[in-house]
Amino acid sequence: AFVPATQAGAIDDFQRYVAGRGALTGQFTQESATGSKLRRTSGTFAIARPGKFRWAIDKPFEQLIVSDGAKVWFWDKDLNQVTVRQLKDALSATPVALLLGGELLAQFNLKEGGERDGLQWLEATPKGKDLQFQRIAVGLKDGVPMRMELVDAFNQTSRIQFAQVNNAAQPAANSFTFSPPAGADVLQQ
Amino acid sequence: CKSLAPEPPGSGAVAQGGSAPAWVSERSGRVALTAEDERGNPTRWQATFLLKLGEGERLQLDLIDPLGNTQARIRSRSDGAELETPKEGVQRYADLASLTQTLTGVALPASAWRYWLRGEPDPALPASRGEQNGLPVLDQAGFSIRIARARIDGTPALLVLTRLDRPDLNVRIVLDD
Repeated sequence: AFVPATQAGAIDDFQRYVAGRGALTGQFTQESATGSKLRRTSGTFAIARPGKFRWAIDKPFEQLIVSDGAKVWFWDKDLNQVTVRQLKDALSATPVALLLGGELLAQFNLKEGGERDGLQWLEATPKGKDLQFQRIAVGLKDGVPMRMELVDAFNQTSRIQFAQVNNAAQPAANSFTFSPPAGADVLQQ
Repeated sequence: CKSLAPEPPGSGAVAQGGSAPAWVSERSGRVALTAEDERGNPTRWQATFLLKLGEGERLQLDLIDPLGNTQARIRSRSDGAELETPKEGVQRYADLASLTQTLTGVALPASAWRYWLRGEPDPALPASRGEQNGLPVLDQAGFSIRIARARIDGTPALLVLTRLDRPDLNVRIVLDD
């Protein structure tokens, strides 16, 4: 695990975090203002560089997003459909790309966001024109991402709160692979 | 007709200016579509959706990816329909049927959705009812709307839409409470 320098800003801490080799695991709760309702999903996540990622929603339904560093699988249990996409297409300029760091980080302009709610914030604005997010803010605690606030191209806002974060994790080898269940409809995009 | 005058995202919210009338109802859930376009290429996608329904043909459908990011917004009004995406901006169509025909190879009617999502027929159109594996099936506008899973109160939890003339088409809709 890396130890953040005490007086560094959020950007330096975040750069140190993404440069680190360690994996990150934990739980998440995502709240999105969807219409008049607040839509809440929760589950577990694992991130390992370069480009490996697992986002398992288990409440109120089951969905899974898995990246092995090259391909990304989206699976919805109720719909029994799997979509497979190239990592660079599926996650470009998304919050996950930010957390994965590496070359994906080059798609953002980073700015200090000051301190709020006991977290050090950095603001990430996608560089491209036609990208899907207007703003992504990351709140860090001791250099580890604890919260994200997102505004997409349609001004829909959502907030992701991380918990039980372990930045020295050793995710299981099969965390970043996915085999479609029997009978699932698989689409390669 | 499809005019390709893309405009920046967010500009097409209310084309005629002024505030739009309130939405009558709202449904959300997840949808998966499997179809083939005219050249036989598979068209498949899945998304979380938020459907806002107004009077008559007026609706707004947001398609959201699993990470909570709105990928596209479809609007339908009596005077036309539009598709808005971050990449392409706003693209206009004569109506929702021509918009969905272009995108998915299937013309989906605007007015019937508010009824179908309740497992009911659109009263304005002829319909027939049947049963499959003990669950009700509704045939209307060329579609077979099957309640694959129902809640205790009989309302649909999982709908499957197919067409006799399009065996390649399969639309699965999981409805939130």
